[in-house]
Amino acid sequence: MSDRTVVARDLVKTYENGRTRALDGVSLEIFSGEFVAICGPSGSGKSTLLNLIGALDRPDSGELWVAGEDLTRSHGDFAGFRARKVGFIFQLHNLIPSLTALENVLIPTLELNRRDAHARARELLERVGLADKAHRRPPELSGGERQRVAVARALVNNPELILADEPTGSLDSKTEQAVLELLRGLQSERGVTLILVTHDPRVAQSADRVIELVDGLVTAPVAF
Amino acid sequence: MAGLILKNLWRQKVRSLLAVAGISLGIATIIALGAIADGMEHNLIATLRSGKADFSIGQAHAPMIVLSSVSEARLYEIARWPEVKQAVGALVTFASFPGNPYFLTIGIEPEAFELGGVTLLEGRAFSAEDEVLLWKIAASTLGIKPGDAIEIDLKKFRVVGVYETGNLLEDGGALLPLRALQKLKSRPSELTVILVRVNEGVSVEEAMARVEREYAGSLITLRSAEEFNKNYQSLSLVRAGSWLISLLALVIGGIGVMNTMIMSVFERTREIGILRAVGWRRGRVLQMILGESLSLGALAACVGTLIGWGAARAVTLLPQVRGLISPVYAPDLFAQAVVIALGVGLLGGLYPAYRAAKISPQEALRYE
Ligand SMILES: Nc1ncnc2c1ncn2[C@@H]1O[C@H](COP(=O)(O)OP(=O)(O)OP(=O)(O)O)[C@@H](O)[C@H]1O
Ligand SMILES: [Mg+2]
Repeated sequence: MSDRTVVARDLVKTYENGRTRALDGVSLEIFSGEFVAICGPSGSGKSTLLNLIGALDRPDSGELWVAGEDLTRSHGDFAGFRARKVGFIFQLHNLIPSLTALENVLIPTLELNRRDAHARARELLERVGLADKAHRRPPELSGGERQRVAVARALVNNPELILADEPTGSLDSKTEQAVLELLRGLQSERGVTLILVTHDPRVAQSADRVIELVDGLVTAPVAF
Repeated sequence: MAGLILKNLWRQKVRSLLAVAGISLGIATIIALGAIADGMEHNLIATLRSGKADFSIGQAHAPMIVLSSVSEARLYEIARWPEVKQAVGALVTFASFPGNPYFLTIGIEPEAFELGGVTLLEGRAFSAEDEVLLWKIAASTLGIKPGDAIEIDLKKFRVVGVYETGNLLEDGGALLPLRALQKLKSRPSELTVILVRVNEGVSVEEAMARVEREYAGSLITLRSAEEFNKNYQSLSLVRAGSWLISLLALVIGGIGVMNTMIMSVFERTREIGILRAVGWRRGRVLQMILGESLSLGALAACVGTLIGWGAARAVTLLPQVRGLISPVYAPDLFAQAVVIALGVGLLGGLYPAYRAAKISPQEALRYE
């Protein structure tokens, strides 16, 4: 059990009072330190699945354990879980425009000026190659640089898993490659589990495993 | 968090400033009106606590002390009462002086100086009807010394001395012989106030009660601030006005802040979704939005206080009221303004903060 970061059984998630079945009984297991790509056509439920794993939303039914936490329990806000256990990277507009790169990285630490958090944030910014741009605001950064800041932010609390929803979807292929390499590098360095939603088969090929969704269901586990 | 709050407000400078301006105007009005009302009250207290008098008598239902009118006959009647040691009358009115058409001028006999708390600093008391004493500040402002001539209501007077009061109408400008002022103003046998000192062993309360009894409905006795608060309606009107404006400021300012903050929360839906996604609790989002609206209120408290202070000063520099009203800036007044401004910020921010805290991160992140 301890080496499984995500355990899902028959996850169902519907929207608009059941009229949209985004997930129609998904079961899967993801192991600690694994890099899993989630593929599938638009509207197949990829983001929905990622949001459930990241406790941004709750399933209608089924079982879901992530990083040792039961995400189907009905009480309480999962904000603390999200801060400690997961790091999110979205496709666009990940950052708060009024805050500098460094301050954006610090948001999940819930402190904008604590010493040790500061040290960690600076170290991560250096690791993603933005040490000299720590005090720039998002509008003064390129698309690739913004995603690097988002990568640094996702790691600042040393989470168990990173959830990335088409993190390079808005970048040109060269920048995309660089950001992905960075993400992969950090993932293997730190032994974090990485779950990445992508449309790009080449990106998917670099993953340890691909999970394909169609109409809210996992098709067949394909191993590379 | 504080830094983030200020940055968020700074991002929408114009909108934040408009919200601040709305509350500031209300706060400025509260400060200006309040300072003027306090100033009026202070003047009245000064009159009432004048010199060695135990109490004063004025006209019942007069809207303001300078509008009180008491017949001199009452003075002679009361002066004969066994419990009264001394009773003197004074006529308080406005006269035109060089450069000030509404100078506070008091007609009083030299015998009444002690009861009225008048102290001669220079020169002598008047002995003829064309002689006048100037208040020391008025004398130095006008640059007039004993021996100089001065025109009051187009009539020539000679300045024979300079005085200071313990507190009888502190900001009054000049003392004239009672008869001279009555003539000048064509108000023969008319007084504004009677100052009374009672004999030893006589209770002041009983003497006051006798006046109220015998002249019920026409005269009132005054000794304390609470009494004229009850009796002088203009003051209570200013006070009521000030409270009404406070209330309006609260409502209008509150709506302004609410509008500003709802717009701002709406525009930042995705940002708030991100904050929630990376681990901010609802309470933290709530705090951030309330912090923003409270900051707007705090800024408005500062700006409004400055504007109100300036406005009250500007009013007192008008020639028509110079010497009549000097604003008093009591700490209570500032406390009231700060509490109202913060209250407006808090009330205006509650609903937007609640909305922000309710934002679902999942839905906010679908929103581009
Ligand atoms: N909050 C919501 N309200 C209503 N419908 C929703 C909501 N979230 C998702 N859906 C619907 O659920 C289905 C799955 O959506 P999801 O976003 O998971 O798809 P996806 O695989 O991520 O698609 P894409 O590749 O376009 O991002 C879609 O039909 C979508 O419209
Ligand atoms: Mg999606």
